[in-house]
Amino acid sequence: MPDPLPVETDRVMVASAGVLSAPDPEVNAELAADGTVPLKKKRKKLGFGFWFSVIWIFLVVFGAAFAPWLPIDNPNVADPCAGVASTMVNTGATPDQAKLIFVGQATSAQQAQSLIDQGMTVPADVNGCKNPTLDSRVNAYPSATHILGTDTSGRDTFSRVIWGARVAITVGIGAIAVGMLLGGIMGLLAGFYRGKPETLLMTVADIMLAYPALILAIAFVAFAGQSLLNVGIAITIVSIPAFARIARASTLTYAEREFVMAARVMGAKNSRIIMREIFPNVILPVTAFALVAVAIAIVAEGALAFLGLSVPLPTSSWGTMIHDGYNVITDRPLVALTPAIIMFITVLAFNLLGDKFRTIFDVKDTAL
Amino acid sequence: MSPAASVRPIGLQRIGREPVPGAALLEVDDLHTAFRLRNGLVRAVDGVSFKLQRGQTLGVVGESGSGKTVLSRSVMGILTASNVETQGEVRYEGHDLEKLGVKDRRALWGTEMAMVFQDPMTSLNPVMRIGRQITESLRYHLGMSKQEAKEAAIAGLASVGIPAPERRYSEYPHQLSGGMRQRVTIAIALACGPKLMFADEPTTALDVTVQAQILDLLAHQQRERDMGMILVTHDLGVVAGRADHVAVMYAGQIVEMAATADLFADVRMPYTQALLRSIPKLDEASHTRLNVIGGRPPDLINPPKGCRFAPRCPYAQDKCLKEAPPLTESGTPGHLYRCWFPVGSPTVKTTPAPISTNGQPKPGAAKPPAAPTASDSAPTSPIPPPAAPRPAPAPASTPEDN
Repeated sequence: MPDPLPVETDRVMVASAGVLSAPDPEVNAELAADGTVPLKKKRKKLGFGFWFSVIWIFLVVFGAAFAPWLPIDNPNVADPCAGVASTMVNTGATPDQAKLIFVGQATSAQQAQSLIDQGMTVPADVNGCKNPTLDSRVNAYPSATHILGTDTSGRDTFSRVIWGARVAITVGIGAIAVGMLLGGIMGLLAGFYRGKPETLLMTVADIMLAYPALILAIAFVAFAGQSLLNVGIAITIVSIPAFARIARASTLTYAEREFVMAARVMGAKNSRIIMREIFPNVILPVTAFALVAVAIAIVAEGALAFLGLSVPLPTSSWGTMIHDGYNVITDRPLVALTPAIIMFITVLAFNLLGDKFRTIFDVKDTAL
Repeated sequence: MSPAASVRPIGLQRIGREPVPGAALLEVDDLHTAFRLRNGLVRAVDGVSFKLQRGQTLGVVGESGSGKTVLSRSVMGILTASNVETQGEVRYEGHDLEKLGVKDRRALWGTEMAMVFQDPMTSLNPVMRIGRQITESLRYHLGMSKQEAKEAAIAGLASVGIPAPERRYSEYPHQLSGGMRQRVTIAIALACGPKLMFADEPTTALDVTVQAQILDLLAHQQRERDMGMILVTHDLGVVAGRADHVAVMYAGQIVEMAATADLFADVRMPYTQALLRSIPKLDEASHTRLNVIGGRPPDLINPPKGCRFAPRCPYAQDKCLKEAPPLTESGTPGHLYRCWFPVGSPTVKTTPAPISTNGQPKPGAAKPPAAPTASDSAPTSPIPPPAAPRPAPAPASTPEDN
């Protein structure tokens, strides 16, 4: 299609006659001196999924970052009334009866009641518990006292979920960021310089990819010891080859593009070409994958924790919480389901975000 | 964009050299470039020599795979892959580029010689703003400050005919049309004031109307800056009006080279003649079959023993298949061609055999002008004898003849 003007522009002529009848005033205001209007920019809607993901991830990250300063219960200490409240559940006793049973004065509700009738004073404060209610029991359902209920030890689930997010986010984002950095650099250099180093690097990456990632991580943590750092290192190690592959594949396509040759003939050095020309292009698909990788890492940390191989107890982690709740899943399914749902939504959010990012980037690429 | 604004020595001065007095801007001497592949050595450029003076344009014409792009890239010295083998000498302002080494050569890229690529869709970085792509080399080579570079870049965009350059400066390549992008690539190439410009099929990816604009722009800039230019194209029409000299390439060799007017006035090489014939003419009736050159370019790993064009040449004789013709000079000084029986010489039959439109003619099959069968001949008006060559296409109208 020939351009309509001798001097080309990305603009459309505004027809003077009725062809484009009455251009609206807004458009008119944008009329440039040469009588053209800019083509309307198409804005893609980001959609509900995107904003939901952004808000959810923000909340999770916020909770993880500020957990020590948030007005929430101690995640590692049971509700002081948990024991008394559980006694109430097990024996059908009233709060006062239960207190007596709990301190060992009685063995049943009837015995406790008769002791009370005989004039025994009920202690006002049992291990810090003053007014026990059923909301404080172990495996409690959500209530005003514990908005997400309690776990098998009577600890506040909401608080544990937030502290668990600390582990999930630290491992998910931290380990993946390091993996992205190391794997990305490896892939970038391998794809740009090619030759023997590339063959070596990619062979190692292939061998690592052939290993079952989780087994590798389990083996590493089992040997190196359970700590947040070691879990992070384990997940970083298994993520590096994937990042190296993606960065290399992307580098290969961009290194062949003419703009790289164009930069070279303008006198750019290799380092400059890598940093200025190739890196900004490669970072897009790598970031899109990284968002998905964060989700995978969170699941991996959960799996390690479920197997008891993540952070040492009593530090809370979503996987540990699911493991705890697993024992009572038939009677009190929420104990395991709550952290599972939180993990599910977080993983979904990262996936949606990664997907959106990839879509936006893809469109840009085809419009080239 | 004035490189004079810089305080830093650039180009040849940066590497402590001066142009050798009396030397041509560019001298290429028996250049060979080959690619080592698993199944042999591909001789993409096979013994090319030419000279280019400042302010002159050399048009390099040839079909796909004739080695014209490889020629321009190996002259510039940017073929760095490990499987590339080059021989011969390339002298820029009297200095052998091969002897300069990679680092010194890089100091010349952009400042002394620059290149405009074929496809503006891929020759701009999609994730970098237009402005930054221009200012990079200004700041790197000329040591300009951010503000100076920005002003120079905007001036450069304006000088290549981009409207609203201040706005375009901060836009991304995908926001520009193809023609505009090619203007941007030209602005980038011109940014540091090179003296030698390689234009590698600069209009192939563009609309016909835009082609003429871009070629005019290149010609204008060339005149203004007194640059030497190597214009690589597959379109004889493009070089007709814009090149001072034309080199026709076939299978890695220059098969005919002359001043543009001499070449079109007196075509000696049958290949050039065939290229000229294959340009569609407006005055021909509709549905006229186009004159194509039958067959394919030869395999560059095992090129034919004799003349490389012989298997496709309508005039080929036995000698052509056995001995490779040297590059000889015709009556006109400077008119070189590579043919045993040049067009118009008495030993050649006056009418070429009809060029087969399907498949490769067998070597020798086209020798005697056997009466063509009715089904074989294209329904064209009789082909004029080669002794009376076609007039040179009018410069102004040729780019549209694509």
